Amino acid sequence: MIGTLHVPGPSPVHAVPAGYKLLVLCGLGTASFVIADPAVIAAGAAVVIMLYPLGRVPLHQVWVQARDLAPLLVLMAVTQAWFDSPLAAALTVTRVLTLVWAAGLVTATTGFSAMMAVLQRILAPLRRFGVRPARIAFALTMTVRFVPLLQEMIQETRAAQAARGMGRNPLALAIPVTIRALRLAEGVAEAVEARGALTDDDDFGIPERRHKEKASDTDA
Amino acid sequence: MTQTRDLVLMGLFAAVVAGLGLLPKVTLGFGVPITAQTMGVMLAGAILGARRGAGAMAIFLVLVALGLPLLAGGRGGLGVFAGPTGGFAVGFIVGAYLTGLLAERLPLRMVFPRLLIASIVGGIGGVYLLGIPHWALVADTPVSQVLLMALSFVPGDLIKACLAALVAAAIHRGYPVLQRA
Repeated sequence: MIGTLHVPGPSPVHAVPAGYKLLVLCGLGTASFVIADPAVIAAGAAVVIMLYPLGRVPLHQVWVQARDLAPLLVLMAVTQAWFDSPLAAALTVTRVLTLVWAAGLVTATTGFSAMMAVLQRILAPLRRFGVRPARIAFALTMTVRFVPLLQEMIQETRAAQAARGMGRNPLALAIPVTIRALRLAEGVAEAVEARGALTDDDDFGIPERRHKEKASDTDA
Repeated sequence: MTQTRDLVLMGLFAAVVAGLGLLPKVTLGFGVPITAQTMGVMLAGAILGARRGAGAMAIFLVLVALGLPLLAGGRGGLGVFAGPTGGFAVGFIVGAYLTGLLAERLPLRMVFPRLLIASIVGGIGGVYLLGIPHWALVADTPVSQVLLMALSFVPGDLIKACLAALVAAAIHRGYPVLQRA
């Protein structure tokens, strides 16, 4: 299946509710664009890095994230220093690193289900505009399940096409895989419908709700 | 039925984009990865149409934001959106929507040219529409400068658009999904 970037707890950082962590992250993002002093932002970065051991996230992650961004940061710093000033370059680099580290920490210390719960809470007020959190959650779980299935299909189809001597043709792989995937989706949709599992709102599975849905379906 | 089917299709194409991220990526000299994922953006728009295509991309990005390492090179989590390339990721939604809109509306009878134009304008233009200003903002670099750097991706993007249009055209011939949007 798919791995996650989550690091298991418990730790004081894990214990902070996901919603608060996201709020702090949001605030940090705004602050970093208001503050124009690289020293202050660097101090903020230092605080963020100190939170890594507190959250039991290996400090190695700080390095990995910086390393992945390094070529981009160098490019940014050079163009900045050229077009603007070395100070602006320092500001940009510290800003991006701080935010990426902070966001990485939130991701590492917050479980997938906790994030999903925050998402459902954020989406709940949008229900009056026609957004249905349960449907979104359904589609998300579908995707997580489809990824390994697609991998399987690709491997099977690749083997089949290689046997026909078409192993090197990307279209000979992409077209049959897409058609198989669409067929699969069709089958899944039918199965979900047949079980009546997906009703109109959050509470899929609650019988009385389902009856109401059935009634409105026949009206339509 | 259609609603459930649409949701499953959106979930499927979110998975297609994730799957394309598993293909080996080529990283350009200055660190921006060339990935097959934008081909998934074009495919979603060209096969599913504007609304469902954009929905599929939204699902994909929500999963990335929630911390699954689905972007090319195993990147994921909120840090992606804080970084300079975050705008390209969010641009997936616009890209799929534009591709789908053009695929549905362009007054061209022939399928392949229609889907090719849709993939080029939507899948490249739409993604850059958010990606370039976001980069310029995060890096505090003039837009013109970023635009110049982005040009180096265009040849690869054109190849992806051709492939996406070929696949989508074959799907529409053999397995029409778009018409029932």
